[in-house]
Amino acid sequence: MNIAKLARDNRASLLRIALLLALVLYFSANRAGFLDTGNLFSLMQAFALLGLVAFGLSVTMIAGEFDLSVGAMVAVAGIIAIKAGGSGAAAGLAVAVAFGLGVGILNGLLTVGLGVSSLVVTVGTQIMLTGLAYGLAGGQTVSYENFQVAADVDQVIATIFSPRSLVAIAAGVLVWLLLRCTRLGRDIIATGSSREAAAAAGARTRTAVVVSFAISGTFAALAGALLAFSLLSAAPTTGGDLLLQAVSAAILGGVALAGGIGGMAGVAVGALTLTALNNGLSFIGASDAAISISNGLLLLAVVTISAGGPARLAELVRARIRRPATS
Amino acid sequence: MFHLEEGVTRRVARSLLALTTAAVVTFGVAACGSSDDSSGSSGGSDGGGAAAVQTSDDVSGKKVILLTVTPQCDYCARATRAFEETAKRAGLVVEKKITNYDAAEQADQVNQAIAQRPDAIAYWPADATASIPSLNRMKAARVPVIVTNSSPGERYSDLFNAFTGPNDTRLGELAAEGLIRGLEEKNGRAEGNIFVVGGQPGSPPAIQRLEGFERTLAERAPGIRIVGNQPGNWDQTQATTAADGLFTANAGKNIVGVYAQADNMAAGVIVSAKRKGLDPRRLVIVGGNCQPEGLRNIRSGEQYSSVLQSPLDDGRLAAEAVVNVLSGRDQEHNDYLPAEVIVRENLATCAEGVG
Repeated sequence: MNIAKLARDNRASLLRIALLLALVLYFSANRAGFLDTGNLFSLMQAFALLGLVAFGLSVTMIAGEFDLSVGAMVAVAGIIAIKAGGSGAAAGLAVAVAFGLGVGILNGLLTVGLGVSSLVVTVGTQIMLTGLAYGLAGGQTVSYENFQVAADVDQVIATIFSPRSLVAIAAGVLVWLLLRCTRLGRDIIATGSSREAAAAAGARTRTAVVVSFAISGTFAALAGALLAFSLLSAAPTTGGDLLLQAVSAAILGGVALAGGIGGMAGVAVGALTLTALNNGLSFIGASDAAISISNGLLLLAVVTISAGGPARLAELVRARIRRPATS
Repeated sequence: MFHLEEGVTRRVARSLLALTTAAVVTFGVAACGSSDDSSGSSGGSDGGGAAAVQTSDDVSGKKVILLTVTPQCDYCARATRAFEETAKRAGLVVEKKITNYDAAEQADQVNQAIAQRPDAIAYWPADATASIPSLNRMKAARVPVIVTNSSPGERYSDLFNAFTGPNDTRLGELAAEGLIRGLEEKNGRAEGNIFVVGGQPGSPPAIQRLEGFERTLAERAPGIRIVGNQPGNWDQTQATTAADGLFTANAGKNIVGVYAQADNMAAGVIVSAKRKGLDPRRLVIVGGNCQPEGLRNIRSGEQYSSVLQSPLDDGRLAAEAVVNVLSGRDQEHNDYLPAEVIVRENLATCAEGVG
């Protein structure tokens, strides 16, 4: 086994894992209790929301598209789950997820059918979903009276997991399998790399785009419905900055904005990195503003390093030093 | 046999170093903005206001986690500061977690706070409706909880040790008293059409203030009719938009007054009235919360009244309740803030309450 080749081939992945480990080491060294199971449970609960949304969004990014409607979907799906959950949470969950699937398919069909940018299409659905959320909730926070449901979705499993976080992990594994082991998954990646070349090679590019949006819509709706049952309430304002967080997680996880590059393992590391950063900063009592600044700095740092920023800077410095003095 | 190529190793090592540096810079920024509360048990050396808490020896060194909301809201920032000052004077070690009114984030913060095993939690719900599962978890973890500012309601009172904060029904009643007084003073009689610009729909403060307001009008001034009600979501700009719509929709109904559930929203109503060519001084605009906008507009005569709700009292009462609960002293389950109608004559009370 050649470790050098392994390191070279997986340099970016190793860097991402190293960053996550550096964060964990930093916080655990600076504050006792960061690695306590109770705090790890809290970290995984945050991952349950961000991870699930980021997994779905990443599939559209890998397919060379973008789903701007995921934040609004989380909000409206939560409201639908509560409104439709009168006869039971399972019914509410099913209706919300079916709604997410439907809107996802609609996003995909409009994108491939109209031949316009998915940014335009999903801005439209985002606005529509936000309006729907306000309309359904009457501008209010809607509440759910079945306390047992909250206890069920957030019950502690194996010390640090809950049904919510396990659903997020399972969703990530499913998409990982889809991308790695199925023809459809390969079509999604090929479509994101070069749509024309993929079509010429026989890939089902239109199906790939529709499926990627269907996954994104479904995952966002699932995340919203589970969050609503966890909080026993849902509001039209939920998920305000979730879109940015999910995009950050995807980029931190190595998903390329141009499409065709990225995988669920990376997105999981990206989402865990962000949740560890936010959890750790909250643990040491950082302010809201400091947490936002840190999120932005971290993203910029990773993007800069991934693009070879330090190497280019070193080259510039070397060139400057070597340049002969002019009179 | 493992082979490490020198060049690759160096590149990976360099990148790791760069990442670590980036992480350190990032955390450095965070640390600059982090509270140093955990080291801050002043032990009551600063005598100012210490009389309110006389049991510092009982609770000295105990840890309280304050789950609070954004410092971008002036009232919230002042209340939080007052809490920290009072708690530190009592010898408590305070740790703070802040959310920008994000109920999901706050639920995660509650999980984290429970994991940190504090002696007590002071909990300002980002959304009182969404706070019940979190209250259940804190109760199950046997952590004493003081809910502050936003009560989830009497129905859930067994989930927390005490509530400190405004009695929103009473605040609504006092706003109605201000309106009645203003109409009598300006028009000679308490009657006519008014509209309401409310807080966030569905939030307990918005609901309870309106209940108290409507009840008092029904009992004491049945000639006053509420002809419209739109949410301003505790935001001046949204309140301006809401008032624009209400002034337009009720153009022929001779609006004589407006109840905005907070002073910043009353400021939005004043902007809207001027846009419509109306003189706010001829209307009776009543607000609430004793905010700086209210002070300014009452002084200028464009707003008639506000209702005292002091952020300093809000924070102080919560910290005192933590001390009482931790030291086993008597603590009222609902410990409400002092409240009174504020008009131009007693503006000083308002200014003092705001700090």
